[in-house]
Amino acid sequence: MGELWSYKFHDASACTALSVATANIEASTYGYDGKAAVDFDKVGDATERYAGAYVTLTGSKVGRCEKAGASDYASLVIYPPAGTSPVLCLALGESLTNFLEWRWTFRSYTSDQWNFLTARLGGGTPKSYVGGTWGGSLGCNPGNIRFIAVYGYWTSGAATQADVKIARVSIIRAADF
Amino acid sequence: MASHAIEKFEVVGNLTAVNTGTANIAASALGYSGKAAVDFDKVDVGTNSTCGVYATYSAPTKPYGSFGPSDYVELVFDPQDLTNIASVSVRIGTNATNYLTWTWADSTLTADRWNLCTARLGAGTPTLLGCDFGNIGYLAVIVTFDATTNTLADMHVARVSLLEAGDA
Repeated sequence: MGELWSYKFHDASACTALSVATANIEASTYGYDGKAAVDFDKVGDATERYAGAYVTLTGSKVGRCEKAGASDYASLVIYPPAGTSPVLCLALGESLTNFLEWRWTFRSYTSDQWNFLTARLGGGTPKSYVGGTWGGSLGCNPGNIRFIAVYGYWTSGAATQADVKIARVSIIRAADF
Repeated sequence: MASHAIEKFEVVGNLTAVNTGTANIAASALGYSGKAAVDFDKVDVGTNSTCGVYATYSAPTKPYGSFGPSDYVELVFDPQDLTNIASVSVRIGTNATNYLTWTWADSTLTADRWNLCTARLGAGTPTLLGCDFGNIGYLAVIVTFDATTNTLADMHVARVSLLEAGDA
């Protein structure tokens, strides 16, 4: 309850690799809500430290949270396996060109279980990720969420991690938190 | 209020031992809400460091599909004595093979009184596909001890509920 909007990661085929260091986006053996979640691997790369998955939303799946304000929360249900302790990231926006990003370090989560990670919408960082290059952006209009990305940031390109699982992304009213 | 009891532990016949380390599931002389709670014992059978009870439900008698990861699971539990208890856990699932588990360490509990244990639904540990809250078919309360030889009489369990986050 209290979710103004949510996206459930049940369909691996709807997800796209965020970077060249991402592989094996697939239906997980595990789930949160009775259906298989989506998982991905971080694979070794000469330079790329980011790995994850993103989805593009159309039609009825577009997030329409016009009333969501800066004090409301973005939330992520994610299962990071024990191992390499990446920084976990959530991006919401219109496209790879315009989104807000929220980050959680390994001190914010517990490995080998689902984690419910939250951050105020007003605490996001405006970013873009075009052609493998990070930049600034106009942020995210919560009334028009067409892009969701969930990814990790590892300490080196060579780092590897199997089966990071993603279950759900939501926007939650502050009053219902 | 906005706390929704999945199991009130008022009908002993609805409950089954999780293993042979559990004995004497019975209506307690103590209660929480004006009715007898359920109590059970940990016995030493040489193989189990856990004990507990579980219930199963025929779908869709427990439809809580509107509850999300920001909402809470609640357990009302009286461990009687904490000397050898390591933790207490609640499992809620679609069935006995797909469920989520939340665990509270002994350091968060107080002996010989009711304890209200809470955790975000979104912070559970999955066994396979977790829990479809719109179709809950399985619930268990499990106490983990330090050793298989540990014994303890009359742990009480009174309620497992879901709580809307805004009312926490």
